[in-house]
Amino acid sequence: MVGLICFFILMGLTLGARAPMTWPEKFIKDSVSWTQGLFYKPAASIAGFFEDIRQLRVIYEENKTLKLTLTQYARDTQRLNELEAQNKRLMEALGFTERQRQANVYKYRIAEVVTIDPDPYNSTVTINLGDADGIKENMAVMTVDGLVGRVSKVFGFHSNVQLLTEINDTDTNSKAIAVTVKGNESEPFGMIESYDSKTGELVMNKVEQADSLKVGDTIITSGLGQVFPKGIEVGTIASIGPGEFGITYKVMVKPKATFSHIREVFVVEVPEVK
Amino acid sequence: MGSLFSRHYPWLILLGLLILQGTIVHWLIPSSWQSQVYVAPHFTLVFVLFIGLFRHRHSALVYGLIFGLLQDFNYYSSILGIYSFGMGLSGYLAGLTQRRQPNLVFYNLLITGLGLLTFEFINYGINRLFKLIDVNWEFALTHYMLPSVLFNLLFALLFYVPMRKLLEGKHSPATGTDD
Repeated sequence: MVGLICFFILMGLTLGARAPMTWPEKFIKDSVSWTQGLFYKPAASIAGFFEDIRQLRVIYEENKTLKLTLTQYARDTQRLNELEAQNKRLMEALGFTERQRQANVYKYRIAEVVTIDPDPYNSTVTINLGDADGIKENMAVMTVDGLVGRVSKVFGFHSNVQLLTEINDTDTNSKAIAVTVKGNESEPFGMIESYDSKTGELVMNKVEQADSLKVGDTIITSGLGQVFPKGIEVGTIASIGPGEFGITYKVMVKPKATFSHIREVFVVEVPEVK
Repeated sequence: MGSLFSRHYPWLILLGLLILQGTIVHWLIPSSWQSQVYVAPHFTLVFVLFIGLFRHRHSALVYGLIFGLLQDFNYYSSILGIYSFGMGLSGYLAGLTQRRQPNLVFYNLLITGLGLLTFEFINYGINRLFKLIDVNWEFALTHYMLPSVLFNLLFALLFYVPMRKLLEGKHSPATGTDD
């Protein structure tokens, strides 16, 4: 009976909201909780361990599929980069043909380089346009930067292009280029007859008046030789010096196009050559 | 089928090397080299020299002529015959120096290097003779010939052991069967 009354008093006193706990309550709670904590953490980790073992198989499978997906992404990224680079090159080439279309009436056929002769004395580049595509011998070949060479031999589906680095005044198979200066096409005249391998420059001979030429001028083909069509950029003047016999001048021209690692070229098709 | 391949593998290997040296090697050589020196891969020539060293000199001559002619046709711009003459002669000369055992690596590589140098001289010589180029001798030696010889010698060194096994492996079964 007394116990019942005590219980009622206890319940009544603790029913409402209470202020901070009294110190016996704190003491009991802390000691019991601490002991419980001793058991709870290891139990949790052990249970977690078994859970991990169960999950190991799942994680393994997941890892495998993720790795596969990753390599697929890596391949796709590489392909994307390659496509982007190709796209950029082709856009450049397309922009180039559009610009040239306004300037001249030439048709520019784009061709890819198939192989390059490893011989140092005979740098022939083979492109994948040939007789079946209407390519004829002596058509000029250029890249976006400038003149690169001339079609020397035509086969069924491929053609050999002789690069500018092989122009030689003693070889019967190489043709000299009649050139003039851009911006002043009527006056200066010269013939690019050979290539100096030591300095990497083209040698332009038979220049009569050198007063209208200065270093840095752009040299373009003049079309007078009936071989190379006019208006194609060849290079820039690097130096002007005395020529043979002291009568004419000799001009060294630095080519604008690079001759190594060529991938795509343009073959210039002049309407009346057909 | 297996014997068919083993009889005709030099053709396939030479063809493969020909295609390789015209396409992939050009892109493998770093372009920082290309501005100063010109390295010309002549892997087909290296293989022909090996045929001369480990097989008979006549087969080296024939292979050299045929594959040199193939290269001439392929890269024809002014004259036919330089590569076929050069490769055939170098292969034949390499075959003349064949020795019996011991067949040392150093000696064979020396012959290979000399064969490559001979080819470069022939190449340059014929080009100068017919006035196809006018590069002078010292420049060609230091910029074209020596780097190419070194590069091809490196290739020869790398592939010496497999190629020798391939070429000499045909002889040993023949001597083994005697009853």
